[in-house]
Amino acid sequence: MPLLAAVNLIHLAMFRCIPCNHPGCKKYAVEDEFTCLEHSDHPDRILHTITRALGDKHNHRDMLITDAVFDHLDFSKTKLSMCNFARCVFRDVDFSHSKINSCFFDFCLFDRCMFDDNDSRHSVVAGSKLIQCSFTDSMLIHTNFMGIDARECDFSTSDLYYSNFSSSHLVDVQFVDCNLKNADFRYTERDKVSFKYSNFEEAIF
Amino acid sequence: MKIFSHFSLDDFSNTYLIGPENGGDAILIDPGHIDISIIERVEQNRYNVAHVLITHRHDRHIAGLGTLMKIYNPKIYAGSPSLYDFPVTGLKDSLFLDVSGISVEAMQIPGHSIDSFVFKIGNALFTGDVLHAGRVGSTKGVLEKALLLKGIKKRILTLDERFVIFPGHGTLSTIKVEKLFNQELIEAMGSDDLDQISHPSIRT
Repeated sequence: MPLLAAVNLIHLAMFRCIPCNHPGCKKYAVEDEFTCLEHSDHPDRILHTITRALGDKHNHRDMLITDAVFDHLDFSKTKLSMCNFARCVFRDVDFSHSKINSCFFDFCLFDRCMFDDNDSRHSVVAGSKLIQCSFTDSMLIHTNFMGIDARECDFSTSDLYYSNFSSSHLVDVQFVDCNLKNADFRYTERDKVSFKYSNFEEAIF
Repeated sequence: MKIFSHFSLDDFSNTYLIGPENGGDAILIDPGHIDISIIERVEQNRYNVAHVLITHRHDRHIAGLGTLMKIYNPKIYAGSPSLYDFPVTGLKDSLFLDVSGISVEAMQIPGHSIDSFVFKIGNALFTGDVLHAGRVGSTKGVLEKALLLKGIKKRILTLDERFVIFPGHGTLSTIKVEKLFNQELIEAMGSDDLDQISHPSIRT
């Protein structure tokens, strides 16, 4: 079981929050653009630029793209902080060995994605659907998983200290040998969920 | 503007440091625990902690004030008239402050404590113990709970759903996530009885 992280001090830049300038659109504009992806004249070019950046394994901060689709990509060892990927679709995407700090992945779809040996803190995955995703050997502390719909996912040997799974729907999900201290599982619907060898008595049910 | 989050293992509370991109006067919200890592971050960014905002007067949110005051000389803003023996500038509901060049709106939302304030800065909401991810703040009784829920319903849930919530304890969230998955709020949203709740000293 990974050791609990010590005092954590992280940098969070503010979201730019520049609205899409398409009349009536309530989405945020993509990073360095005036519109959201849907209303852009060159969505493929934007997606290509962001995909290439995410794959370069460098630090990225304040990246913003919502409602995009990422398919069969290698984002392993990438380092993200205060990025917003709300409502994106990730299929067969590899985030293993990555560092994700204070990023928003709310209301996304993660299908067969890998987050093994991931270091994720203060991020928001709430409202997302996770299918056959792997989060083993990961540091997932202070992360908001509220309302997720997870099927056939594996969080084993991960540190879930202070993470919040409340109101989530968990089917065939493994939490084997995890640190669950202060992890919140209130109002969850659970079917074939295993907490074997984990300190579930220190979690909140 | 930058926001730094500090999580203390001593009291499981969050402290937030907010400052400009290139150094200068900064704001500290809820100095529950001041340790070397916060001081280093202040100095590395060439900040001067010029203002302290207190969400409410509970030890887990103010215990670091003594240490902080020995190093810096910030102006303290709080809903409570006294914080240990330090001078306090009183907050009022719907007060707009210009601190360290940053615009802050203070919203009084009582219930967890009578002096509970939420601070709105840009699209960020520093909720203290008024609202955490997945739960509302603890209260001492039924009336206080109703006051708190009414305040959250009228003052927070009416904001843009994309506002990011920076709570006093626990994980980040958004108003949309809380509306959809915070069971206490979901129950409260359907209750018209909350409108009958009031407190003589507070605009609700």
